[in-house]
Amino acid sequence: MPPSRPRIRRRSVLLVGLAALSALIALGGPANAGASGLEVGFADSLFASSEAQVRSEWLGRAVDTGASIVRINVRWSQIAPKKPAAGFEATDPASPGYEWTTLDAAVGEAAAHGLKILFTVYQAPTWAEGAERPKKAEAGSWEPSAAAFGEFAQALARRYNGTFPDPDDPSTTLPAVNFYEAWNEPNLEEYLAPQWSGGENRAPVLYRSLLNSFYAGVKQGAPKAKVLAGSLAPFGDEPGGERTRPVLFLRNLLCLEGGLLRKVACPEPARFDILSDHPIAVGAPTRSAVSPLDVTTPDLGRLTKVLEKAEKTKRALPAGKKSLWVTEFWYDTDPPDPTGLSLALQARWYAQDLYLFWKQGAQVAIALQLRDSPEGKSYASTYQSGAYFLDGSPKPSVTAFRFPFVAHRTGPFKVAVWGIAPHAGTVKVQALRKGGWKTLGTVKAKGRGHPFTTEVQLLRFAHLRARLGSASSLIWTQR
Amino acid sequence: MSTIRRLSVGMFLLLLIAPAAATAASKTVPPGHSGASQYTETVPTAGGEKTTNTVHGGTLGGGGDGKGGGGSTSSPTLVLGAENAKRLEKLGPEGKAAARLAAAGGTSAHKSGGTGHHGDGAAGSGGSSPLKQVAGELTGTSGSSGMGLLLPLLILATAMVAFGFVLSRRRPTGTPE
Repeated sequence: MPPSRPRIRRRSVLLVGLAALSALIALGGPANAGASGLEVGFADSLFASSEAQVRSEWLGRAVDTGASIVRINVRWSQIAPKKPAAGFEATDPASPGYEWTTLDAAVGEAAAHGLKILFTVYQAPTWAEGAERPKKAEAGSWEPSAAAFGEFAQALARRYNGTFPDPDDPSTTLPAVNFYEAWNEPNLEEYLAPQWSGGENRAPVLYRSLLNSFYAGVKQGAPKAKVLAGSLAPFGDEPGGERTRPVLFLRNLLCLEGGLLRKVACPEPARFDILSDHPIAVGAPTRSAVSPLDVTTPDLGRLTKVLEKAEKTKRALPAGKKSLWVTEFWYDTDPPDPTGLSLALQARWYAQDLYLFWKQGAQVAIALQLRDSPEGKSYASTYQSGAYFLDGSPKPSVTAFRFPFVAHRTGPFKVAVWGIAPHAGTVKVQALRKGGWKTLGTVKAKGRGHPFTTEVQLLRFAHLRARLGSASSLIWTQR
Repeated sequence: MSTIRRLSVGMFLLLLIAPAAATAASKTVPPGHSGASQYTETVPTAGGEKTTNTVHGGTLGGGGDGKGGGGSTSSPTLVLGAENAKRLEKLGPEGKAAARLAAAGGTSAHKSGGTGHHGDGAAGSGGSSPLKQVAGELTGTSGSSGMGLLLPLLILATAMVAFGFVLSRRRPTGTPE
């Protein structure tokens, strides 16, 4: 006898419901779903130029382009002595042998422009590298001494904790630097070697030692400063390769194993305050990395999932929730690089990046380069990802950083918009119609660092923009 | 079309998606950086590690990228390969619809000689087979990837089984004589 109709309905509803529940569990929700603000910044070697005029001009432009923070690379090998002399005191920034002139100037100029500063500290001097260094190892990458790195970190933090006398005017002090990033892209053998040794993923273990020593040194020199860990490059290779996939690297750094993040022995858990990443895209901002262990623009959740487990199981110390920063992302353009993106597309993708980083819980997003580099040997080996061309003229990306604005459809009649206004005020969300720009809605904006969001009624295709006083975002085309 | 046929089309499509991920063609690096090997995306294949092609475009959610950045349309042949496309076509209207669906949402395994700022068709997702990935997770093998495609495929399969069950139970009830 066939089952009755009500029983069929109950069974079918149950099965469909189970499938739907599974889908919901799989999809989940975005971590931190943009609860906080988003500060924008730039990394550029111009900020540490030996020419004062260049530093001043480009730090000023960074501010004009929407930045509130700049990233300055600190190559340990260029500041520490080539060979420490007798009596060299590594933790003392005043010890003879240290060369701080360029860094002092960069920090002073950045602070004078009201910018926060992030130091990315890497590249060991030869004397601080490990024994039996292979010839092919990149300079400063081979098994750096954690102890020596920690001592340098202490010297660095002591010099820039806001109390160290300015050598040029001892009656004043050097400005404070509050953010210190331990190493650059430690999941690449180019920066930290070896990645693998005897079948073991050696680099995360090396990095954990470096990080913990760095953390102790920074906190010793500047107790209130924050330490960033990670700075992970987006892609890796299969085990044994020159690159470790970032999710795998983070798992191993934080003593978690496999997709289920099982706890493994962790005698010295990693210590840091902020997790940083370089989710550099090879395509559109919405394109995920093919491997679930790689991380490009929309994949930060793969890292935060690991981080959250580590926080819960006390494998990321000190206890408490860590922030997430993006400390490098970029797209080259054509012109000048013939294989780069169009100018319009770079601008569009930068705006989308900022939105997606914010949506995934990042609090800071630092783009690589404010100004294009010269071609050098080739465009392929240099960066033309600036918001400005080499000659200083602006690309459309200047507006994308200064007043980012993106939209996405949330229903047949509604579109959600997101942006960051250049200053506080009431932003008009407008659509281009036959008679000109028509305001669809308004939203109060707090200005830089505080994204605005709202929804507007939009049935059909439109060119949209955000307007605040006389300032306009780039146009966003919405279907 | 019969229920069984519909299920066959659906399962066939699912099976096509995972192995399509394993094919790789030309290099993928950030636009403008053909020399930047450290930022190249690679996936493992039966023939060793290969660099991927990018998926072209993809939108934030609206019509954004359609013009400038992406939304390239592909034919079923390009996405699935000629043989697979023909197999789907032979399954009737539903098969053709599934092929079109794969073309619209999938990626091309066809090598493209396009310029850097146009993403090319891509290997879809995760190079190793879903079964290998699951085995890797269960055994805790270092370097094993996550479930990748497997979970969404399982969900889709569950939904289709449910749908098929519902359809199969909806037999016309004859009037008792």
